[in-house]
Amino acid sequence: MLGEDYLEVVKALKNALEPFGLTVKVVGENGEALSFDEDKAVLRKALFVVVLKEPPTLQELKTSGWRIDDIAMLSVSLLYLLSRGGKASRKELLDILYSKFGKWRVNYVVERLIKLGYLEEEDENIVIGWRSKIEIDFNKILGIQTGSSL
Amino acid sequence: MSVKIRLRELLEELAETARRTSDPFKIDVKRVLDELAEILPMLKYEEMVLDAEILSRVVEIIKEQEDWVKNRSAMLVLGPFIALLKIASLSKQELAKELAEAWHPIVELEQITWIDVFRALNYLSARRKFALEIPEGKRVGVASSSELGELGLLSELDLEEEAKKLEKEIAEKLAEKGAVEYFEVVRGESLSEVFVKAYVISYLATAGKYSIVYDPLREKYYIVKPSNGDYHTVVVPLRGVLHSG
Repeated sequence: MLGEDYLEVVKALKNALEPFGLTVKVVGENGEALSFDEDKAVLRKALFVVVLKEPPTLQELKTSGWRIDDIAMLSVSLLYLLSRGGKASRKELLDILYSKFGKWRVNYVVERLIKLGYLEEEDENIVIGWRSKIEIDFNKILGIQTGSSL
Repeated sequence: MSVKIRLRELLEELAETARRTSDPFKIDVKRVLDELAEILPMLKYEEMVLDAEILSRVVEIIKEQEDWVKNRSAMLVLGPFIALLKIASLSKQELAKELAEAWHPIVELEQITWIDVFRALNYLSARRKFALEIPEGKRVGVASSSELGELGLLSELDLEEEAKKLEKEIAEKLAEKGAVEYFEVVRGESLSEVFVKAYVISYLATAGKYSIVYDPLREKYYIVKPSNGDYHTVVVPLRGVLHSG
């Protein structure tokens, strides 16, 4: 229990983490990035997560267990879903991935990305998962310059 | 409240909101302008400067809002196009790099704790010491491979020959189907035959000749050719697979 002034505690934590290359990100109910100055009622439902302040290098991702192919598959999945307003049928997404990667690996990786929360199943569709919304700057991956949320 | 104080408050509010957020629409321009219009008839000459400063801020904010709308509309139109273009034109390495540069992973901590270290030490110290008992008059020596063979501890299996045979079998099946179910190959009349085949395939996969992949939808393991020299293997449990069906 952090009490009524919990935001001050979280801000202090954020300041303490900054020297380690980490930061606290505030995420709204729908995965949108929020600032610490949002309305209290909105922040009450928000998630506070500790993330890396700067993106990792490919080498760092590899040493933490990611394969280049798997990262590329997540990249293609997100780009495709973003181009379709965040949702696409499983078949469509798999067909796109099959065209770029080995068929046998695709099914395995997609299941893994779903388990990790980067993608989510919604009936017959695949949608962008909660974890992608928190961790990935969609504007940046699309190459669109806007103010950073971090 | 005096008009001057209210004007200062408005000015401060505008500056503070602009500093706190990157979204210019967080500022209610209409409310500010309505309030200024209400205050205007009451303004003295010297207060006009404050009023003008507020108006100047409002103009800056409206300009930011305009840029913001332009940016967002460009994103809505160009976003899907850029996404599809990237999928089509970038290599796997480039796609991975694009994502990595936009990625801020959640931090996880996975480490051994002191409790785990002490638990491991307790376990190790509680283990019974193993000592080889040597009967009187006997001495410890090194057994030759032929002696081990006579004792039935070493088979005369030619692994190289076995590897060639399996390679041929897999190559034929891959030519037919593109992927071979693992247990179509790894099966035999006896437990040792199954284990030898599994060992040989493990050796061939480690040498990069095949990839072993798991299809979670079919719950089956497959032997496939590595894509672009990038091979991959998974652990395959042999439990329950002893004889050919």
